[in-house]
Amino acid sequence: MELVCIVCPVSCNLEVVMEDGKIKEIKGAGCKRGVKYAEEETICPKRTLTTTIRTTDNRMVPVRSDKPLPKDRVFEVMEKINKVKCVPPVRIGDIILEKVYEDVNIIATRNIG
Amino acid sequence: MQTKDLVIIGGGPAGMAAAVSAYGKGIRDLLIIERDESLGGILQQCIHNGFGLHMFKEELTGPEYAWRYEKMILDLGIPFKLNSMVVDISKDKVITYVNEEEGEVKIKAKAIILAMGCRERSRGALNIPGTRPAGIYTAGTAQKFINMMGLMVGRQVVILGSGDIGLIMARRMTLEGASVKAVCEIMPYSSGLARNIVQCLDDFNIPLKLGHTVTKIHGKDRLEGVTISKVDENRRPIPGTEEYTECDTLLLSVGLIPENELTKGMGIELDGSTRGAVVDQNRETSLEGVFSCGNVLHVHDLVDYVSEEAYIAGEAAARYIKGERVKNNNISVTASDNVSYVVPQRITSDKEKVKIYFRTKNELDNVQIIVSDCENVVYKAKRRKTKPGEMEYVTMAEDVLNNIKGNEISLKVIGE
Repeated sequence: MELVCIVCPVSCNLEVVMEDGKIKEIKGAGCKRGVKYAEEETICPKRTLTTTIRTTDNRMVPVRSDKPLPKDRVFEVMEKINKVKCVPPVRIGDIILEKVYEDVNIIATRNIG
Repeated sequence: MQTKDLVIIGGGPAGMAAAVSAYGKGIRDLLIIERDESLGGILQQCIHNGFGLHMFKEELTGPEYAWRYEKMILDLGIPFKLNSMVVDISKDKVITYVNEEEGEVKIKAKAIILAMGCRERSRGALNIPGTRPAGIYTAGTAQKFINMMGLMVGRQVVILGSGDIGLIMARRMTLEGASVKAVCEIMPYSSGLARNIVQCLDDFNIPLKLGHTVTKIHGKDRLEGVTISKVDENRRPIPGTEEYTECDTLLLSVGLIPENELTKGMGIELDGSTRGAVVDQNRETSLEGVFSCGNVLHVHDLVDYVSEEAYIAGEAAARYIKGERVKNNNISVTASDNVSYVVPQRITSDKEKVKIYFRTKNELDNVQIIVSDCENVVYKAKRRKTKPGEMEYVTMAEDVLNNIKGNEISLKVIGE
């Protein structure tokens, strides 16, 4: 299986060699994180989600998941996020929504005074 | 008239890093002038992650990257003015800015760092035939509406241009419930990062139509659809390949232009390829004591490289102010075969190694980079692959600079 690594902007071309349904070898990764990405992408693809949450006074707080989410859960988490509003002030790193999926939290990425 | 040692025009990533760097070299009488209501520039609307891998060795979102520098500025007590627009800079370094509280103010600076960033090419630059309905935005404008103002711009979207902003917006619109019908790219390749094609298009099954462009806009008040055509090798639409696609929104991600109106006003020499100032290795322009860095100098792929360049300009401005800047040379650097531009375009000192940044015109494999003076090849390097969308650089050591014959070197690239 051929993949493009999305861990960093270098975008290495990866090749995952499978044998009997298991990973035998990962080629092309420029760093260890690429190897980990290729493993995960083969077993359970994950993505960091970035979006916004509205404050009660109608401003936008940029947020992200503090860990990558399984790719097929992204829209489900978006729905949860879109149902809530948060109360300012918000500090960068504050947990806005706890455990939106397993142990993944949604955290603020900007101070909104 | 007020005076300052150093005034920095623009409080985005370039301006902030330049200020931090000049401060680190002992400059205390400095000021950042920013036209927006906060520092951070375009990073504040780039809420996606992928910033900072080089600079901070972690993956940050745009606002998080901006905050790293904002915090340094606040902790160091570097003064800045927000909501203040610089309208003119004279050749003798008198800066005129306006804001609501102070009206029009003039400041005389010993040194200036230009860090105004860039703006997007718009529909007017493309000459797409058809009507002029609502629903056509540059990708960055749509990004600001959605991410900063919480306003959704449309439901059925076609994106023209596969640069990173276009790709990022394809994902963003999809996450917010819109249907992105296609991303059209006139070139046979995407200028965006491969990782963004994977995580912004492939993840959501959004088709990337390479070698296609929008040839007609339909709709009276609101956009109703676009005609998409295939193009030939000369990027001309091929008759008979037209396909109508219904959509209420067209996003344009068709290039960025350094914002150099102030630079032109000062009579500073510009480079026709970068559309930024011609600079030396210190990022000093043709006007002594005026420096330029970040996207106003040339459009960068990564903000990390913007910060890196701003450190160079900030340190050099500090040396200039303290009278420690050395100019003992004047070699021009030119782009030759397969190279679209080089920065810096001049080398004015052989005392320190110089990184020459460049872009290739085409995608090439097994690449040889060759730097020659009027007689010999002075430097050679190899790369596995180069792409126009990915900036490259070579480092010229002091001994290489010392041995250059004549006053010109050229950089060329050979590949398959």
